[in-house]
Parts: sequence; structure tokens; C-alpha cells
Amino acid sequence: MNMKKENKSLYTKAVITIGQLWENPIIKGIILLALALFVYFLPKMATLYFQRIAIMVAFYAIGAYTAVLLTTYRGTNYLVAVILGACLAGAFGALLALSTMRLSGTYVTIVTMAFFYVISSIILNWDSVTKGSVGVLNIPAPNLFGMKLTMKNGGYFYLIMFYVALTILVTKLVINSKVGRAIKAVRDDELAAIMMGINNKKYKIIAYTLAAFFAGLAGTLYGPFMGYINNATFNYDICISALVIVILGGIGTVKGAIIGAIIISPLGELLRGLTTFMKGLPEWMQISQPEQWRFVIYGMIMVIMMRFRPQGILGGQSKLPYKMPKGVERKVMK
Amino acid sequence: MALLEAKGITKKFGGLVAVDKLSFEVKQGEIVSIIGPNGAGKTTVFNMITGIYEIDEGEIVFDNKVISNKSPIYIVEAGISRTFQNIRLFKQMRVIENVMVGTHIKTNYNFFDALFRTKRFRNEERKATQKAIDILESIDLGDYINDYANNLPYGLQRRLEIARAIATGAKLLILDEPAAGMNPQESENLLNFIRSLQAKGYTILIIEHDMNVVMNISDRIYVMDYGKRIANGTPSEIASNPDVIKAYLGDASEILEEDDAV
Repeated sequence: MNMKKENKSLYTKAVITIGQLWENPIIKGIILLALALFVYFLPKMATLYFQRIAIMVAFYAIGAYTAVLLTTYRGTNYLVAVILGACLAGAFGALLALSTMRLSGTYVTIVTMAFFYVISSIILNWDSVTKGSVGVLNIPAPNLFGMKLTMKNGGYFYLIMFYVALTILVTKLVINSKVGRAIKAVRDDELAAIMMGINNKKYKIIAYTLAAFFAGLAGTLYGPFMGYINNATFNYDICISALVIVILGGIGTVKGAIIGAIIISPLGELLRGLTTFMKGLPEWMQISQPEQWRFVIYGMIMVIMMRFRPQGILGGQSKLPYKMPKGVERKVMK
Repeated sequence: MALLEAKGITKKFGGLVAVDKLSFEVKQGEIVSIIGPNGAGKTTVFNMITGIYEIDEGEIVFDNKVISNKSPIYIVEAGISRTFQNIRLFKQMRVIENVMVGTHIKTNYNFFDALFRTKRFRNEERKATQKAIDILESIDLGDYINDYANNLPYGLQRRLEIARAIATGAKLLILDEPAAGMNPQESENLLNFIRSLQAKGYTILIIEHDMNVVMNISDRIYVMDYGKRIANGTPSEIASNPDVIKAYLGDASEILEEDDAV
């Protein structure tokens, strides 16, 4: 009897510990996942992932700042602010698609990099609106129909889950349609796609707009989660995490992005846990911020994956048969 | 009545006249080949027909519609589809998806139909999938539906490229060196395949270097050299045409003169 009770309390303790360990990283990871997913849409992403992700961070920042500034200083309804933030990011995506339309390869990369720096310097220098390096403080918790969603009451967690589900759903719906096939075709071989009657410009704009829209949507989550954002929030750190997630999980797959996010996101927290462990070690072995070691691990993951499994854990060609719509028949059966 | 008619088409790249007042026609149900030495301008002609290049002079008429200097999309919708000299499949997509990309212009729904999975989406998607499967089965690719395009053997990749072109609903198929890089067995299979397409009512225009293929399947042949048409006729007429032999092998008198100089 006593034994049983002890077991139970041990179990509860374990659940609580795991819960604490994952609470913060899961949310961060999900934001990153949402970010990583959209890379799928970008054409010709087989090369130069990093720059493409850097630009996603720019859209992420646009979404975050729009929503945060509106809710904090204008008192705009949370839902309206989120929609405006995502739409503004989407509009910038369309603009960027238009401006890179006639470019290819490295030149697209240069323009997208430039775009990232333009956005970050606007955030830093447009003090009157973005508050520059001081940042936006006291960001209110999302308020949905009179319900305050905070980390403490768990509402914020469900909100994030809802966004992620929405993102995955829309991604799936778009991929498995004429639109998704056209985007993939343009990505694989633009000229051949044009020769199939695909309007390459239209589908590039759709791809960039969707990617930017969802990156913006993910951005709107970040502000209320941290309660504070400034120009340094949207740096290459996020780019690198997102890059490692997609490379580890598998480029161009939704499943891969989820697995990657689940593995990578708690890494910082786990390493921070080493602080107590390190106190027992001789002085020369102690490191002040063990969580910074995650960048070493990121680097190792990238090298190992590129060497042994460049398509990622779940990436590459699916072995499952193609999913046919209902009512399709094969006249000749094997 | 010609299905496709080129009337004195010219293409200049700066000072170079790549195609010079070329005229030809392809009748409904024919297999017509364009041959010529390397650099004769054959692929340029294909790029002019399919709307990749603008035409400097002349006019191309297809199915009673002027298609010269129209967008590639307009031309595909009019009923012309092509394959490429070096295979250009969508390599990271499945065989069936490749063919379904071909059905793109015939699949009639928009982004929001896809997002909300409307009835129109489901109907159109079912029709497109069925069409892709029917095409693949009709050309013996039915067993490869789930494979990825870049895993197919070379000969089948060629065949898939043609399947993709058929899926656009094209009446005229333009094949750019379909037998390039094939072994004799593969090109024999290709010959039979192209003949079977003709039997199904497709009209076919081919650029080809493989004389075995050209002489065996063409109803008529046009010969180009330096952007100009130098001969046309049936395979047997072309084989004995002195101008063609001169373009391919050089002039007997030139050889003699060179010998004298030495």
C-alpha cells in the first residue's frame, strides 16, 4: 500500500518535471516549427536554405511587431491585430516575390538577405513606432472573447496549438492540390512547368505570400509569450534553430518539421539543467552558460546530417503509395 | 489543311540569323521530322513554336489560330505540348504527379476551392487523377505510378515526359531529340511507341539526330542548314538528295581542292 502510494507520487513528480522542462521549449519549438514549415513553399529551396529562413525571420518580425504594437499601444482587439499582422507579412511576401521575379539563384539570395537587413534596421531605427532597441514592454496577454489566455491558465498553450494545427492543415490542403503541384513543379523545373501551361509568376507569388503569411502568424505568438520584444529578438539565432529543425527532421515535409521541433526545442533547457551538475565539477571545467553549448550541438547535427542523411530523418522520397481521391479506378489491375 | 503552319519565320540573335525565313507545315495525323547538322537552328524553331522565343518575322498558325509571339501558356492551351532534348521531368515528384501537373490547365478550380475542399475541387481532382492514370496505363507506365520520376530508367523517363505532354490535352506533340542517349533496343521501343501515338490520332513533330529513327517513322522530313530549309520530302527522297548529303558530309569538290592544296 505504502509502496504503491510512493510510486504514484514519483510518477506525478516525473510528469511535473517533464512538464516544466517542456513547457517553455514546446512553445518556442512550436513557433519555430510553424516557421520551419513554410520553407516548404519556397521555390528552389534545395539550395541556400539558410537565406530563405533568414527571410522567414523577417516576415516573422513583421507579424510580431504589427500585432504587438497594435495591442500594446492602440488597444486593438487581439484577433484583429493577429489577422492584420499575418496579412501585412503576407503582403510583404508578395512584394518580395514581385521584386525577385526576374532574378534567379544567388541573386535571389542577395535580395532576400538585403530584405532581412532592411527590416531589422527599420525595427532598430524607427524609434517613434517600434521603440528601437528599448523594445516594447508590458505586452498584454491575448484576450479572446473576454477570456484572458495566459501561460499560467494554459490558454496560451492551446492557442499556440490551434495556430500550429491551422498551419499544418492549410499546408496539407494546399500541397495536395493543383496549387501545390504547380508550386512544386516550378520549384523542380521552372521552364518545364511553364511548358505545362503553369503561370510561374502567379504560383511564385502564391508561394511567397503563403509562406510570409504563416511566418507572420507565428510571429504574432511570440510577443505575448515573452511579454517583451526588441530589435534583438529577431536575430540569426532563430534562423539557425529553424534551419537545424528542418535539416534534422527533413526538408520539405510537415512530419519532418514536427519531429525536428520536438527534438531540438528542449535542447537549450536541457543544457541549462547542467548548471547544477557543473557545480560539482572542478573549476576549470565549469562553464557559466551551458545552454550556449546548443550551438555546438546544432553545428554537429548539421554536419552529421549533411554527411549521412541529407534528406533528414523523415525527408526524401515517401515509400507510401500515392493517395488517390475517392472514385478513381485503375482499369488494368496487376 | 495544315494543323501547324510556319510562314517565313525568322529569328535573329544580334547579327546571327539563327532561323532564316523558314516555312513548313504539319498536317493532321502526320509524323514530321526536322533534321539538320548541329547548330542548324532546329531547337530554335521549337522554342519559337512554343513561345519561349519571340519571332522577328513571319507567322505561325496552329489550328487556324495565330500563335506566334503569344505566351507559352496560350500556346499550351491552344493544343501544343513539347518534350525537351535533355529530360526535364519534375524529379522530386511522383510519376502520377508529373502527369497531373500536365493536367493543370484542364483542371478547373481555384485556390479557395482547394482550401475549402469544395465539391468542384473533389470532382475536378478525381477527373484529373483518373485521366493521369488512364494515360499512364495506356502507355504501359501503370506499374510505376507511385515511383519518383528520377528513379525511373532512362527510356521510361522519356516516355513519362511524353505522357506529361499528352496530359495537357495537346493535339500536336513536339519531341526534341526523343532518342538522344538511347541504346538500339530503347530507340526501337520508342519507335513503336511514337507509331502507337500516331495511331491514336496525335500529330507529331520531331527533331532527331538518330537517322534510323527519322527514316523509319517520318511521313515527311524537312532538312535545315544554317537556319534555312534546304530540302523537304519523304524519307527516301531525302536520303538521295544531293543537298542533304552535302550538308551532312560536305562537298566532294571541297575535299578535292583541299587535297590539291596539300
